Amino acid sequence: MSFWELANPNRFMSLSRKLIPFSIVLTVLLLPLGLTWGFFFTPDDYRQGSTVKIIYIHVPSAFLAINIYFMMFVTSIVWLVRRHHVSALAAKAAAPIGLSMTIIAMITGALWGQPMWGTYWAWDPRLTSFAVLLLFYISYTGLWFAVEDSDKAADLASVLCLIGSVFAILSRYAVLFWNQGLHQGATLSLDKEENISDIFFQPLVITMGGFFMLFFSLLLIRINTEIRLRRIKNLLKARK
Amino acid sequence: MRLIIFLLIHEIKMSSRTGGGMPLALGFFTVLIMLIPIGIGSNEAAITKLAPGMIWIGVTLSVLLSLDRLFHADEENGTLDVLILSPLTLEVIVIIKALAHWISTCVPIIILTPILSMTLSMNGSGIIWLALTLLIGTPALSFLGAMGATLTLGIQRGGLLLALIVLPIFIPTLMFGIQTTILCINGSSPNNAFIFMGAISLLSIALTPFICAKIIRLNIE
Repeated sequence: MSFWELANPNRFMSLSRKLIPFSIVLTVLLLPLGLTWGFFFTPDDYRQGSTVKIIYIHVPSAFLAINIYFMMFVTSIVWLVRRHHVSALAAKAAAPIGLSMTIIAMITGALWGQPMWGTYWAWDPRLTSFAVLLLFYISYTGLWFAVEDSDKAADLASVLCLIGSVFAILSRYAVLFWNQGLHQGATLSLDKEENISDIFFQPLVITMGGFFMLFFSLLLIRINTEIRLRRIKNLLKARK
Repeated sequence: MRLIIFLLIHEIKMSSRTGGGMPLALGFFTVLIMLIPIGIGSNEAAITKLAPGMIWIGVTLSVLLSLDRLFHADEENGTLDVLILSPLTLEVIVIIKALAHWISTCVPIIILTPILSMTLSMNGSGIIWLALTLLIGTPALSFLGAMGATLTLGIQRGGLLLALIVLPIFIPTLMFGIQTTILCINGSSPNNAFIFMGAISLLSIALTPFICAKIIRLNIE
């Protein structure tokens, strides 16, 4: 079976109906496992104390926030090029999940930042790019809600997603530049990924897997809902 | 060619009428710049330091305010349909409209800036640098803004959504613009920031007409 056959809503729905139970079971297994391991069975960091444990929520949600936008970028291109409705609906279904992941990442980051850096918020490159990402998620979802005709909404939102990804990346590097210009090399980011030891890394991988499976199950459920919603709308339209 | 010039002059005329984009943007900009010192208090050193950023933000917001008239009014009264049927291609029409928006909104604001920046106690060379960087950076605002305006074309009362879409798109231009201005005023070389600001301006002039035309075609079918 070729991947593109999933563009048929019926095929997609029958496959996802089989996949959803598995992914929910995996989420329920991985997420509590990783979180309890991370929270209760890892030692405190010698410098950061127990605040280091925020990593088990912060890093997976930030990872998803960026990659969900990337997924929306790909599905938007697929919609614009091949006009598969499931693709457009997948982007629509993913956006609120990405939005909430961005907010979770920002809140946990602020809570982590206060004890470590002494501030909830700083205009450091990563933080700024997340703020911009949040704005693009909001405008993307807003555009979907504002346009009535669903095909037109899909077109416009896809174009906005493409434009948004260009400008999100651009502002990521613009800030890098701007910070260097104003405060010489005063970067706050600890390199989170590089110097992490295995004790923290193993539960982190499991929570990341758990978060991903959570996203995957929510996504499949939401796409199914969107397909049904569209069918109901079409039926109501046909009755008029 | 005559048609293009005619349309350009027509667009500028339309937007400089009462109720058009130009008086609205100019008035808003003036009030905003006047309000800033009142909000900050009479701390002159602080105001001078904030002035370039405040003026850039003021320009951005004024541009934003006049954007929903750019295509929306034409779409409502049917002018846009006539324009689409005209011998000009849609891309050219978008260029003309964005250019007219820049001439009728941004240029008057830039002319007004030196006078207003005196109230923010900026010095002579600072004012000249500010005006020059605005002159180079603002075409990006008009052209990128046109993109947002076309995206919200069919939406009734899409003002808030327009702001939500356009402001994040403006962020890089704003960052590089303010950076260039500050570097110029401080007397250091603004090369890198300036190159990026110019690049965004030129690229937006070159690319957005095609994107806008595509969006309009998607919108009106």
